[in-house]
Amino acid sequence: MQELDLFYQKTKKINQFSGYLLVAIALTLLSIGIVALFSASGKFVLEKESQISSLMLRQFLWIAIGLFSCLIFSLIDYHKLLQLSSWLLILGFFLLILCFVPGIGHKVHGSSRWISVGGFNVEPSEFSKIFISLFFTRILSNAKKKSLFYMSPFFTAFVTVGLFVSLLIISGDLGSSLLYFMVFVLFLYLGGISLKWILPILGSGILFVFIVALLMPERRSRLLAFLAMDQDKEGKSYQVWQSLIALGSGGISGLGLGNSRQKMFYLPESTTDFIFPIIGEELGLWATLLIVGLYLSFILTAGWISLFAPDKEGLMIGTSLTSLIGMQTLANLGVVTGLLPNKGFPLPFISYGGSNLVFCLMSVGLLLNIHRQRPPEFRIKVEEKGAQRSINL
Amino acid sequence: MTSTPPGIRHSVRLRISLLALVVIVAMGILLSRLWILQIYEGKAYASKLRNQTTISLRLAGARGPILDKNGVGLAENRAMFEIDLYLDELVRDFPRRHKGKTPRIEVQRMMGGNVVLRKEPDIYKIVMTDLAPILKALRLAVKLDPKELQRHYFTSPSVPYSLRTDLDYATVARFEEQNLGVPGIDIAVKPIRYYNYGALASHVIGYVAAPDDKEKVSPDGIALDMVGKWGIERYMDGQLQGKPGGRILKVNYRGYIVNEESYIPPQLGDCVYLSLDTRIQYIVETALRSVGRGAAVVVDPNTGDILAMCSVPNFDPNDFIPKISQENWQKLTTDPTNPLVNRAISSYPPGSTFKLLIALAALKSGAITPKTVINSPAAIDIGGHLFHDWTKTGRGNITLYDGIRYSCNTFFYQVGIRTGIQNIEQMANVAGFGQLTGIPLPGESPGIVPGPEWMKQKYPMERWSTAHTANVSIGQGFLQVTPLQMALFVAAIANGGTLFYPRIVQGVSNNKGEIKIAVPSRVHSQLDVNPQDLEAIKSAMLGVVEEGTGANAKIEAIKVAGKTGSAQATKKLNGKLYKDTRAWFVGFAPYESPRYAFCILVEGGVSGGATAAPIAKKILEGIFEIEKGHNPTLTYLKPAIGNFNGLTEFTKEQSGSSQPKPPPDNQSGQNDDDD
Repeated sequence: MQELDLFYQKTKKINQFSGYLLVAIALTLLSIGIVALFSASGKFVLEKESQISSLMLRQFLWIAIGLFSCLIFSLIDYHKLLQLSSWLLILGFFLLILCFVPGIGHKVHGSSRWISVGGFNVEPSEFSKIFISLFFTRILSNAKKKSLFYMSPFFTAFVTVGLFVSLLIISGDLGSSLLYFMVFVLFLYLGGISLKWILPILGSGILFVFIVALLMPERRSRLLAFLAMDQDKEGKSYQVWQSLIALGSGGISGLGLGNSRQKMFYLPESTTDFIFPIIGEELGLWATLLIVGLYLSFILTAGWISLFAPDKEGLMIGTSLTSLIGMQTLANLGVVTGLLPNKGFPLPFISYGGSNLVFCLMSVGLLLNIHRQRPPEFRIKVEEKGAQRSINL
Repeated sequence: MTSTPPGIRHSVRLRISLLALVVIVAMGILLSRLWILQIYEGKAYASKLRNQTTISLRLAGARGPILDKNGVGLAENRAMFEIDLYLDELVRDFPRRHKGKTPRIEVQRMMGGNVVLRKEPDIYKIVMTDLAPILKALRLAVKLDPKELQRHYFTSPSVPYSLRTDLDYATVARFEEQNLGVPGIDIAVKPIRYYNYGALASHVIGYVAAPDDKEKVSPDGIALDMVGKWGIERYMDGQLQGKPGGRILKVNYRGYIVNEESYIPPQLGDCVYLSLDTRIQYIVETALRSVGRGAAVVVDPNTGDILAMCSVPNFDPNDFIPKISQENWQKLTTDPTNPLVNRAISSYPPGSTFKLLIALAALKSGAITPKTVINSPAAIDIGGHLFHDWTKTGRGNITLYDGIRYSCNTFFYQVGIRTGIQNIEQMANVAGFGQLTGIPLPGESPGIVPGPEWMKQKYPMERWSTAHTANVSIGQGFLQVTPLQMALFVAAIANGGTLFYPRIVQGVSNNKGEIKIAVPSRVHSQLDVNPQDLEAIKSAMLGVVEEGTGANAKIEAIKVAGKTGSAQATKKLNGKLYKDTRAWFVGFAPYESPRYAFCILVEGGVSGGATAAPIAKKILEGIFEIEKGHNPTLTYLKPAIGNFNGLTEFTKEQSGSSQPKPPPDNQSGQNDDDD
């Protein structure tokens, strides 16, 4: 107890600046993303006669929307959002169903996860991640009963996540369904459920997704390709293979900004999920290490902020959002470096695409919101005033 | 007081810290993975990247030219026109031109590890639809491999597919007329060897052809398009080879060219200067064409430079470019007159021309002096056999001057025997006979200088006798020399006793004109004969032309010295034995200050004086016209066709019964019939 106090005292300064740090890292990653996207999208000008600016303009618009939502979410007290969370969740669910409605839903590569709004494709599952986090926080933060049985809040959460996951699996978005499930497990973890329950649930969940993946022919071949990559460089593991070629040929110092060859349609999705290899090819190892370092700092800073949230609600929201961004980052980087089976996760802040970017910036907003409301003990200004609260450890 | 936030249990913070640890570990794994990927495996991936994102187009390097001593181009390059097919363009444009669907074909492809049937444009059909009428109009026959075409289209659709066809200008012009409106069929230009004067000096220059498997890569690792196969082209191939250049093109995953990454210009090979004088060569070639088989060599007696070297029949090296037709090759290799053999460096019995060497050996050894008088009857008895002169009357008491002038056999039998075979052999070795001259041309024969030692090795059962010596003394028997050796020997007499190595390549310069190699003229040996004795031989040679057997070579205003020779040989043709006289004429001119030494050999001639001397006359007249400034008009020479004119059927009675029987494999005859 004493040591913890001492720790808090010593880290006051860090607490003071962690908000700025978070924003700074997020903006750095955004900038890297713009530069990388500028380079990676150059091919469209050559091949598809579309202007380089159209893709970039779109992205700039999304960044503007994202920054605006970030501001909004940092200003509205998250407790108010928590009160609205049930309605937000219903909205999210509704939007996910809209994906299946012809005329509104937009199908890409056989999965219905987009809805078209005024020429923009929006992925509701991205936003719903925030909504489900808020909802789980609301029902679980004060759960007295640490039980998973019928009518307990954890059971409600289980049913909710089951609905979302089923919907996502039907829409063909295995990656997101896995993320949703992981959020659920995370809340069990934060909610204090014993690990002897959590680990089997986690295991069976992952097994379930694995089985589903094996049942879907398209996913199965991808999964099998991952297991025997060298035998199938032209086929299913082509993308990952090309990604490794890009990263490997970048070497230490890279081929130079704009000199990527792999972006010339060798590496599919080089502006979205596979933008990291292009950066690695053009700027080399130092840039890739820097980016990984930035993500690590982002996650740790966000985690720090969550850790010093004013209450358990803040802690849960912060941690779940941080975990979502972290898992997504790790999944993306794991795929492009050939460590994980090929699953489409965008790289937060860098990949082209609006929905995920807005989700990430909203999360940054919420984290700032939590940071702004941190208890006075963690503020330098009020250090001596010592407004004290009881501690329930 | 504690200052921890409210409502949060310590265990939750612990759990979050655990999560952070997991993230840190995961990121650590990621970092090390990146480190391995980008540093340790980087090079391997980089080469894979190059392979799949670039296409190298080879640009053939042009061969350096072969020039004569005055810089006249003998072998240079011309543009070769090829048809290039831009397959992708053809396919895309097909529906528009033919108002129909693109024909498709099912092709097996490896896709994702499985063999799948894919519908692809039937590129062969498309190409033939567009190309066939054009080719038909141009009367060109081009065979296309449908499979190769399909593969080329699949792998690199935007790289032109080259139809290897050597089109001439007229065809190119007609092609362009026909081709209007078909995009995707185009003409490409490549440098290729061209021999400006056709068959002129073809045995010296040689020819180039596509390399065989051993020659495909040069010593410095460059893949070669064409290599020298014969003659100077082969000997100087290392210098003549141009360096190929290339274009490295960046392509995207569909094989479309995005841009040019680098361009290495092809380089012209080095330029080889020959000692030949094209004008003299031309005169020699045209003069020698009057006979069916023969050789002529003109050398500069002061340097050993070969000014002209000609062998008839010959071939047109342009027939070998870009590839000799089966029919032509068949013709060249099966022709009984052997047009591919360079007769100037093949060996023949020298006949009376060898008497010059006998005279030299005799004078040097002191066996005779220029004033020694020897009775030379119509025939003399040597070792129990009668050895005849070619006249029925004999010459009586004569000296060396008349002996050479009349080419008297009985005189030289006696001189030769007096000199002894050892001295003759020694002199012959000094004079370069019986050994290779080292001229860098393929197929050179060293010739044979027989003697007791040689006899022991070659025919252990036989013993050398004076009869053999007598035979050598008139240039018959086993003796074999090449026209080149003879010309160099005469050159040595003309220049006062210095025997040169032949020089055919004078130097090499790079394509900027800077001299890289200058080949010096090299002395083989000194004849080392008393000047008065040499003078005696020279004046006798003058006598040969002025008032002797070589009168047919006499020309106006310039004194010519020479020696005739007629060696009888037999030739088996269609199962019959024929008399195939080798008519020789060697000499030099002008007599006072020799600038040209020459040797002319005609197979199937009547005699040296009757057949070879008139050719020498024509050549010398032409050469001195050039000196006066009247250059011949050089034209493209068609290959000289060989024949067997001048053969007379061989009968037993004609063969010299008075002489020892030659060993069974000795092809040459025994008589020396001179004028």
